[in-house]
Amino acid sequence: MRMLSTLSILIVGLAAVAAAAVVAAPEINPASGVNAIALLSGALLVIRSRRR
Amino acid sequence: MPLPPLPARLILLAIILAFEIVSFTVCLDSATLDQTSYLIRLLAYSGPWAVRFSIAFLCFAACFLPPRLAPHRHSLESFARTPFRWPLFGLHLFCLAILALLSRILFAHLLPAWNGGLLVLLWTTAGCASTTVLALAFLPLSAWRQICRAGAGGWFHTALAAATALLLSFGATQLWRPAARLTFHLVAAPLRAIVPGFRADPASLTLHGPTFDVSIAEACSGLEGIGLMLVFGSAWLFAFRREYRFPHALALLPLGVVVIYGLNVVRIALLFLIGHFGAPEIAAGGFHSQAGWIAFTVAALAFAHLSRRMPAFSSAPVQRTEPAGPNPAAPYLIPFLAILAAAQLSVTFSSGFEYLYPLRLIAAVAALWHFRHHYRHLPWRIHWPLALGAGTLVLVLWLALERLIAAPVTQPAPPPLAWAILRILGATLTVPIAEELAFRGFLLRRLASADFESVSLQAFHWWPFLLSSAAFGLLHGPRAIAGILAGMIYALVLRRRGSLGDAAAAHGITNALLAAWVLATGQYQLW
Repeated sequence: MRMLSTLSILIVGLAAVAAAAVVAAPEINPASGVNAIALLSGALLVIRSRRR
Repeated sequence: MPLPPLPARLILLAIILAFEIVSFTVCLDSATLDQTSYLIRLLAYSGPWAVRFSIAFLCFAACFLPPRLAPHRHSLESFARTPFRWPLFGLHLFCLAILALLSRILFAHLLPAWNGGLLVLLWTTAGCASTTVLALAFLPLSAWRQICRAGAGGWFHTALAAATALLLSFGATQLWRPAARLTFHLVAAPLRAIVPGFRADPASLTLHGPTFDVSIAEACSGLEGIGLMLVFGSAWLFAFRREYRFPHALALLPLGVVVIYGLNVVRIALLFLIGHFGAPEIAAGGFHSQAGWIAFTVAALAFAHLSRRMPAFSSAPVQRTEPAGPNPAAPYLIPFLAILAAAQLSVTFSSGFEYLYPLRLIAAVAALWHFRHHYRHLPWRIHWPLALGAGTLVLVLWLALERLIAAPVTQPAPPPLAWAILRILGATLTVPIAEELAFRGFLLRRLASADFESVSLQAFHWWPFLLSSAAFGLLHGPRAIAGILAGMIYALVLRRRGSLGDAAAAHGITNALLAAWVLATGQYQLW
């Protein structure tokens, strides 16, 4: 079951790469991407850093 | 100073390769090729796909190969003790220079009399030689042989996955038009009830208001957001697969898609309303470029945070009543994240000049004040001669690289005095403290150990030193190289006495001197 799940995730990931790699367009402006990705990555680090 | 271990070397190699590939891709336009020769035509058609394949291959290799290499870890780690081969790295730079020269001849038609096919062959050879010697600079040939053997079928799966991704990208283009049409109808329905005189034209996918129109391009259909969300969701579930129940957790992916698609509909509706109610410049400017990222950030954070609290998806759900434990990363990261969030917000509601810049200052002061008790235990002593020397050195490098690299731009108009004062306060006080806490206080040590607080501020490891400086530099956009060098210098300042105060002071002095330079010379584009 885990293999199946992993495979499913990879298939969806492939589709995602395909959909995301077409062209740069106004919906997601590449010029402002670095700050947004830094904000998201930092926030995720904070979420994952909480000790239980 | 220990050399980077094997995984670090491979990741550094992949980063350098990806950076070089993307740099060449940005600089070279296959449309400019003179397609008189068969080999040049082949390069023009296959080049962009080869670049996409290479990047996809690197991404999938990072997913597929580590589990296959894990059993051979001990034998492979012995290669990590071999020294980095600087002469081969020098040879790589030489090949890169030849490649750049040949690119200029090939793409800018500098020598039209030369045989085009021969040029393509030379160009390809220089590219392959450059990549090969770079790989050999990081690891000897025997190590690459062992990695190839240990990877076995993983290389085939990686190539297959990358090729499949490229094939799917052909099909994805067919979805743009229907997705844009659905988005158009979903946006038009509520606007009809809100905006008097509203009219929707399904043929051109245009929303007409009395004073403001919005045309929904195919690229605004929401598919880019869906693509990003699927990549993020898949990577998140894969990385933390032990914390989720499968196959139940797979339902999170379509849920994420619905949420991000809905947020794109809300984005376009808000864009129309902002333009309709009197701020068309903001609607078409900052809001248009930022709102997509804000929607993605919100959706991705909700995905990561909420999914762990849902018993249906999580194998060990976080209880709502469970008291929150201490978060060691928060005091180091939150001030910097507050500045980033405020910057995103202020750019969203600006068009051209960022008049809401003071929001960044307020957000940073609030976050630093909130965590003030944590900072009392950190070393803030300042050795002023060291800080002054390092800060000045960074400024000199910054201005020299600006002169060498930056493209000529039109001079922006001088900002209002009050805005300039707040900008200087932010740049010299809050930004240096927040960035040094995040990059040198946290990231530099977190890359060395998961228990980052146990790592001395004076410890030095190549891998965290290079990566944290690279991350710091990349945040400076077109001035990334200057940013990387600045990050390295501030890290070395920190290492000298182990005081965050030294690094923050050096950083603040650079920014203060830069502000003085900007005001004295009127080069406001440097801000």
